[in-house]
Amino acid sequence: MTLPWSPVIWLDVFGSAIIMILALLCCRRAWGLTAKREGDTFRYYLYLLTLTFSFFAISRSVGHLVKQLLLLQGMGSLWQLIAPFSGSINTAAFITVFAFSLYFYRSYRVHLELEAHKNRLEELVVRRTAALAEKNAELAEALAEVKTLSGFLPICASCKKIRDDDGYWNQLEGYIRDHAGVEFSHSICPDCSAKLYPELHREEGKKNQ
Amino acid sequence: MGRGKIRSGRFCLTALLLPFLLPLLLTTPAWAVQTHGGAEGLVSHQIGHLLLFSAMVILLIRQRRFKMRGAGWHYFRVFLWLIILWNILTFTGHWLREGVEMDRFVRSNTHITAFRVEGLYDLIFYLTRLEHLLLVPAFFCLLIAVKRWDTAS
Repeated sequence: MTLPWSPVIWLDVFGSAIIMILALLCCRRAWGLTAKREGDTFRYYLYLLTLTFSFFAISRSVGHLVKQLLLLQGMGSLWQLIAPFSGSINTAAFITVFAFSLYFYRSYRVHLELEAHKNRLEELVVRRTAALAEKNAELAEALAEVKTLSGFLPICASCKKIRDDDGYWNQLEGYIRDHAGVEFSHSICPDCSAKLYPELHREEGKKNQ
Repeated sequence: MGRGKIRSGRFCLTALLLPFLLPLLLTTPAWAVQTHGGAEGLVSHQIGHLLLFSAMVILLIRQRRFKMRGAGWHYFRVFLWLIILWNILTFTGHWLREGVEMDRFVRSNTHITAFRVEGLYDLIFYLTRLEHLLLVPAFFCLLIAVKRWDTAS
């Protein structure tokens, strides 16, 4: 049985050309993959792995195309000179792919650990942000109360009651206790004591004389 | 320490080393550097194929271990399997090429026009020459895999 050799040649030429185009498209896509998330180590690894596959494909395709071109031109002797270099580059590409494949495990493990750390940090940030927001609300409320006391207070000129925001008149002590957290202990000053208990002051005056 | 003592020390050292150094200067080239001709090129290339085969197997095992089932990984696995098959095919083809009789190639001037198949050996060799039927789909799958990874991001 005799089989035609032309399918071998045409498949070699067109196959090599198509593979070269596909490998270049892979490189372009892989670059886009890593450019979207620059800090992602595993995406960068996948980009490099795709590059090594593309290096293998392109080096091989170029060799095959040059070979067919030279053989068609009747320059077989020139191909004999080039062939060892082409084959060696191809072998080097195999070794490069092998070397990169060894790092798949480590690279993915590092990626998973980094993702776990990142997720923990994000959770922590969410929790801390919520706590800060709560604290901020408390501080804002306290500040509002401080502002109430530091602003103008409508006070009765006679009985000294204070009018609040709702229009109610409150005892001075009660108002300040509610808005400033101050507790009062009741006592009598000397002037009021003299007014309220004059007999007591008269006795004390005699003793002093 | 005086200069005279230093000089006499150097002299003694040279006198001691000279019997060992002199033969190195007087020898003819031994051509000890290993050559890489002949079948070594084929052997090293075949080792390269074995390494590539191992790389594909490693990647498949790692993927299975990490249960990577997201977008693109299915196509990447198909790519790896196709490269494994291509590897086996070309590895076989390289070995068979060494044993193919030259009269099997029908030539017109210097160009090969046909191949005479006179047994299973010849037929397998002919089929190994059609390796691109595996390699083109393989790289097509790789492109889809990378595209899916990109789209998923």
